Amino acid sequence: MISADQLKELISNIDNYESDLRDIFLNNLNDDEILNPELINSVLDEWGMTLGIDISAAKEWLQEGNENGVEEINYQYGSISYHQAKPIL
Amino acid sequence: MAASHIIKLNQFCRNLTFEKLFRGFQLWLQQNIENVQSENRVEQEQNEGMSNREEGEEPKRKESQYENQYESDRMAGSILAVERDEKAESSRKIIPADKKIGAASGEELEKSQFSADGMKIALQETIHKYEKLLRDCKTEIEKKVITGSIDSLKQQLADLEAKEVANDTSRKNREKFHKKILQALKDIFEYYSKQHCRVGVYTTFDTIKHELDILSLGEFSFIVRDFQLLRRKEDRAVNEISYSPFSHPSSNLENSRNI
Repeated sequence: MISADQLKELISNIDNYESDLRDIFLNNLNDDEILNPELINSVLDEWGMTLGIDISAAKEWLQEGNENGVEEINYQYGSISYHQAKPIL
Repeated sequence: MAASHIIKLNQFCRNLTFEKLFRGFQLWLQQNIENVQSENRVEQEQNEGMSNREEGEEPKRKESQYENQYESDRMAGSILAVERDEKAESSRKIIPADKKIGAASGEELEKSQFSADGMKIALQETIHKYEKLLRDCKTEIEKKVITGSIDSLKQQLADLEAKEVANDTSRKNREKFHKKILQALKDIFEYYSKQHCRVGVYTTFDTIKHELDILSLGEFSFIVRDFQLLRRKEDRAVNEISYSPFSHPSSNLENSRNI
């Protein structure tokens, strides 16, 4: 498990990793420059690999965006039928 | 209800920029520090409590540990000794004297000689030998014989190299073709597997990925229909397994029949 000191160090150095993380994000975009929902998982996994931390807790946290009181980041969504939402895939 | 979710998903995906995800990630890191610190504090307290309780029991446990260690070492030592003896005996019995050390290198040499590279080297060496002999030759007949054999050896060497090149190109072509087939199949699979996705309120990113990475029976039936895989009558036969929970699986398969 990651220690508090490691996390502090990571937060202070996170700006150094921003370009790498951005590249990972951009590499996973589709032709319409949208990130497909199934690729969010792999983007976060790759971020975790780059930073050397376990990302599973972050995934859960990000999905509960509403409950965490982060208004500008609304990751939570309800039941979705992809059949009708096909154009974005 | 469904329409609102679709709109939500569309908005979610279109609005999901790097900055947003990154900001969310930073927030998670900051919040995580507090959680980790509190967990560490609880762990430390627990450890301190445990160590205080164990201090009294420690000497006794150490003694018993040493005793157990001694006993296990003794047992392991005896087992190892028996194994060593058995190994030594088996090696004495099975391996013949002439095949102990030199045999392995001999076998390797033979294998390399039979391989293409070994053949090439052998041919080149013999050509060199014959060329040396040619220099020492005095009579015309000897020279003729040796030059003839050198020519034939050179011809064989050229044939061998040509064969290798042909094999390489055919292998590469086959690999290319195989890769193309696999890519085409992958594209078809991905197209059909991403047609539908069943997700609920508590769906995670992992489940979405899983849903879109698998091909459901319905999606498979679309493939069958679009590619007309059931055009022939023979392909339409389906094995019906008469299943009995109390019999062996193999007998269930034997009982299957075509419908």
